Amino acid sequence: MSSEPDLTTRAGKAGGPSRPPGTYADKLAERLGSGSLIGFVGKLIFLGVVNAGWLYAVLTLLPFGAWLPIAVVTIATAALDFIYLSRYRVPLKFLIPGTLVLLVFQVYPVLYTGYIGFTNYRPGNNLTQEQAIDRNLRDSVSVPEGATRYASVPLVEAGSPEAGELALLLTDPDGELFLGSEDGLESITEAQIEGEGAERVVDGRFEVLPLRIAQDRQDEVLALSIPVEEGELAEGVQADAISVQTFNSAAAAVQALEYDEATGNLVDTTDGTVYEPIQGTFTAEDGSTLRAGFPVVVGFSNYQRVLTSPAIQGPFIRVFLWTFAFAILTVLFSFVVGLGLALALDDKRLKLRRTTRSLLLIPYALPSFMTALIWQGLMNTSFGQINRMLGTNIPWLTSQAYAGALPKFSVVLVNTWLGFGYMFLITTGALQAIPSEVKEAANVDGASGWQTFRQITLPLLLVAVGPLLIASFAFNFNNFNTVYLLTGGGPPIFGAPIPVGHTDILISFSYRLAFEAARPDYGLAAAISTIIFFLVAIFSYIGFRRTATLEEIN
Amino acid sequence: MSRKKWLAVVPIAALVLTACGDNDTDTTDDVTTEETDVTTEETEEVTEETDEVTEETDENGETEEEAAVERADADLVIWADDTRRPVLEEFAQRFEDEQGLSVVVQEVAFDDIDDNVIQQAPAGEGPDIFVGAHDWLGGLVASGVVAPLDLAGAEDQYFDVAVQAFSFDGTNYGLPYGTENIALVRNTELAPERPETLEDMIEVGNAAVEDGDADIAVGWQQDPADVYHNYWVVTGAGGYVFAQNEDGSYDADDVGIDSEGGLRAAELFGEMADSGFVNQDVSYDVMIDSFANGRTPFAITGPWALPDFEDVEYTVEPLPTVDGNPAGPFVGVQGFFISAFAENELAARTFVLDFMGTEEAQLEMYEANPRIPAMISAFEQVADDEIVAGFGEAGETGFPMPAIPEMGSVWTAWQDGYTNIFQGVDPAEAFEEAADQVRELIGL
Amino acid sequence: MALNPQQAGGTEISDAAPPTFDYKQQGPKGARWWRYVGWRYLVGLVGIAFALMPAYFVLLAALSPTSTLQGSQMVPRDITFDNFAALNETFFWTWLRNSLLVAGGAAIVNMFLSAMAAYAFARLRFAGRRVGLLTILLVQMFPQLLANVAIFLMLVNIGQYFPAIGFGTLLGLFLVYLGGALGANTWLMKGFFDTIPRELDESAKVDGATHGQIFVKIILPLALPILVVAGLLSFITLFNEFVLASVLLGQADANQTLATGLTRFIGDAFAQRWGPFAAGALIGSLPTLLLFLFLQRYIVSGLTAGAAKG
Repeated sequence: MSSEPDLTTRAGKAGGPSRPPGTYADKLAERLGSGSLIGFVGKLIFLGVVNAGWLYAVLTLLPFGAWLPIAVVTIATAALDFIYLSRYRVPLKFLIPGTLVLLVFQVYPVLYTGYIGFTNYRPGNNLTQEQAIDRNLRDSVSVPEGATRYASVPLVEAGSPEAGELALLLTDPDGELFLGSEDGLESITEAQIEGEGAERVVDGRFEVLPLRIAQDRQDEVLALSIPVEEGELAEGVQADAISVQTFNSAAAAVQALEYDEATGNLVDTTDGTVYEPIQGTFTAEDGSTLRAGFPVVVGFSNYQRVLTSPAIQGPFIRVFLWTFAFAILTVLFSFVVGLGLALALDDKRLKLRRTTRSLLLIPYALPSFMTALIWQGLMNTSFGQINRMLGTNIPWLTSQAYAGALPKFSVVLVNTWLGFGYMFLITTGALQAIPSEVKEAANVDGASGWQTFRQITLPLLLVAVGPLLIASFAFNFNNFNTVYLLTGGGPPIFGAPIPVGHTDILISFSYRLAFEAARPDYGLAAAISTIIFFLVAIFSYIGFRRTATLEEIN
Repeated sequence: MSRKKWLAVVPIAALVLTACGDNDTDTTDDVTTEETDVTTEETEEVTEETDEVTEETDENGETEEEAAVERADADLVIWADDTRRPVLEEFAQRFEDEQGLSVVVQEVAFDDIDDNVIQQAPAGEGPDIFVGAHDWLGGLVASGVVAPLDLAGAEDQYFDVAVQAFSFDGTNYGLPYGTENIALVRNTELAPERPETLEDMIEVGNAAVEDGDADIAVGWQQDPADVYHNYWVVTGAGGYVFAQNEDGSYDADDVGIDSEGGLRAAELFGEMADSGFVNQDVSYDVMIDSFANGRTPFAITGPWALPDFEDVEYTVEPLPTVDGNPAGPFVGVQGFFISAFAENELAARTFVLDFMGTEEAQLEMYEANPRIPAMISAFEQVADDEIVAGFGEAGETGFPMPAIPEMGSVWTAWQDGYTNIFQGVDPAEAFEEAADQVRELIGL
Repeated sequence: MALNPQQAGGTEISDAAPPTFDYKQQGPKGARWWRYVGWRYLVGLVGIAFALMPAYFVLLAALSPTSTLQGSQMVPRDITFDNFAALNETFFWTWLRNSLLVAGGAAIVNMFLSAMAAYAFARLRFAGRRVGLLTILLVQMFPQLLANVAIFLMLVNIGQYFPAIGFGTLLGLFLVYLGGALGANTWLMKGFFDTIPRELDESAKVDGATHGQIFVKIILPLALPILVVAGLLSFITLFNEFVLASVLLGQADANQTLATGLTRFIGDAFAQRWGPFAAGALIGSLPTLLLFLFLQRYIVSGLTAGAAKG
């Protein structure tokens, strides 16, 4: 189809030879790569909007000092300006809008996931370093057993609620009153309190802190620490300060850990243990660790774990083969069903043709996780409608016989049902591209209907939809929703080192390593995603070669 | 739990990775005060925009009071599912009136709440308070997204099992409000007598089927085979999933699926499967359908199923004894958590402790969704209710659902063990394999 | 020729439209009728039965008072419209509108972005063309589960500077959906463009047309069927898209799409309310079906195909 020499790009640079002489504006437009005044104006408006957007973005970003985002939008804008004002680079003019969003929302996330595969990201290593330190410090705060609990009212220096010194009015369980401030705990009497409720003034110095303002000054309220001396607290309680617990209560609390900024370590002040961050986890010499940590790059260790895990190597081959078969058969069956229906309904003489087509789209238009569960019910051995109607007792989804052949069939059947609407739609569309003269000519030559279809319609169709079939294969290779909703991967393969079922596919099986281990491991999951991606990509590439579609585009 | 499982698959996507993304210091949420101010202003712009949406919504005749509010628009953000939201909104309103702080209750699908908190809280998009189940604690604590909560001496007001459930490694992380567990739900027409033992239940159930009064001997969901709903047989037979330390915490190094009691449970289960008393084809929907239509004498289920049983006469009782021993199901406790990344920690603590930690609040939560109140005085108010008493009694012999992260390694492996029994594998071998798989997964 | 392709829908397949006779002359109910038309009805009927049998149970669930999905009754015990009424107590109509706006808007924009790229791949020759074509397909093969997290973080960060398109906004979701513009649909369109005779472009070029003009004035009108198909595919996919929406939209009621909003009903493994979910899903499938019903004329109209052959 494309063997003939292509003249288009060269011709596209400027108007053709027979171009009539135009106005000055037309010439300007032409110099700037536009063919007509309307196109030129349109382009100017488009670029105007783009550049105005850029200006707005930069003005917004500048106060943040967000240099990286500024660089990104500037480069993108410059690229758009450059490409659209140039008379050349025609292909880029057509490609750049889609490519930009592709880079941002598809390529970047993929690269990011690839990067995660090289880290030890998982619960316990999932916060930023600052967050992790803060978390550990706060986790080490506790109210010692037996410590007195006070009812508390936050107070503030009379007259300046916004900025004044904070204090607490404390009432212990015996009804004794105290005024707690940064100076310490001071016993007071009822007589020192004037007024009622929110109007109270204590000791003539402090008034009740309005909650609205307490909200704004939350950090100060939380940090308010009322120093106490031994003897002021209940017997046996080791603490040196009282702090608020809620708006209405306070108690002596101790923070065991301290952060050593010089070394980056956390130190337990009660026994002197030093926790040093090792691989993002704060670890003491005896091996004990603190809970919160941050992720660090760990090289290829995630890949090593996947590739050397005996748990995954055991059932790998059979799971892999089934995954392959599942994806291929799904595509094949849904394509055959979809194409068959498209061909059958592609005839003007049919009445109710449009309605029929629309009804056929219903499986595709309903949310698949709901319809997959419906199928699960239909295929239930004792109670499902299918066995009831057939008067049989077939274990559609549970039979372990013949390596789960029956559940495998059922899964493919349901996936076909879910997918044929898509195939029906694309083949209906692609059929419109096949010139009827070609087929008519074949008919005149005496070819049978089947021969015409086999030798003319199908090959032409495959040129258009072949790549989509490969994409569909890749999608189904990782499509464990259907499998999970129908069989949960089951029935189980007895004797496997980790749980795996006859209908489990590669990604669901290998994610078990990542998500059913004691600690879910996103770094490992990302490594698995990457490995599976390369597998799928290789098969797809081979597929392209085989269908000769690459020849087509050369 | 295949539905639960797929629901879990989706939020895996949602799972986290915040830290790595925040390496650009200019965008972390540990921003300097200056930046925080700017962020707040910006977020107010979002709010304005949301208000526009809301106004349009109003034109469409939607209720005005449920206006959408973005994170920064309210002083307190609470995440709860659709069943709890209305009650919480009442208390939120009261909190607003009394404290002058605004509160918004956002609806999140129950099974998404923990995953969403783990993902979104470190990025600054999480709630201050969320309502959930105690067995999330392992994951929440490991991810550092839940803040310790000092119950301020109120521990005595709650059942011990509830308080224990919310403590992890000796620290308390939430305020409990309700407990739930499965029990025996009996159709009083089809089975007038309470079955004291498992054998009694089998006899009555099978007889009902033989007489044509019932389609299935028991509504006991096994499709997929169900670790949660089968656990009472295991404990009755003397088995366990993880051994319990003296303080009630679980020891992940001691897996008891293939303990002596565990294997006895496997044997019992094998017998029940062989006789057809338990049926691998009974899904949750089949169980509901059969019991609601009076086509089975028993259902082994929890309070969540009761709304569908309105047309039958039933009562709720403890599960029958196994080998003469009381059988204990898993007990789940629900309650309020405070996010470690709460923007307004003081207000959050005040709301949880002072507003939800009251008898009135606990009773209202019960009214909305009949879980057994965790507060002793609230429980006493409703203890006369036959159904509450039934579930309560059934739960007395129960065991808290393990909150340790290792529990995540149990579900599929043990479920496969039960399925293998249904498929004719020797019961003891099936459980031994399941136990080995659990150990393998934990060790990975 | 008995049937002009333009009258017959333009794409008659030979066994349906043999050039040498008109089946009507043989009597509409005769064997020939069966051979050329009747079997099509049969296939259509079987197809509809296959398609609708499970969908019937969605209807049952929507009309049933119990909260289950897999009822054992073929005929419902009680019929109730409570589940539909229950939707009115939620933000259902807002969700539907959000879904229509986001999925519809993104589908239209994607259609154009994809068509532009397809034009470049079909009609222009440039370095990296083959790699580019392969890349846009391969990128989409990456298991999405974890990549979504990166998108979430990106939107959170964008939202710090530009709240209008950040996390928790429909506009942000719309932009993310544009990221899928180049992909399988580009290949589908490219395949179709390849079949449009190049002579048409050539003669236009001789008349001085630029690529922009050829694209807008010649290719797009002729490729209408595939544009509509690609747009529909895009729309259906995005309308039902759940994972990204649930990760990116936040929790505000008025912000949800149909997929994320309805899922709240079944979010608790032990307290799923399938009734309202099924009711909402049924209403939610109507826009797609109506759209397809209406747009079909553009997909299978013979006019464009006839003109393409000049």
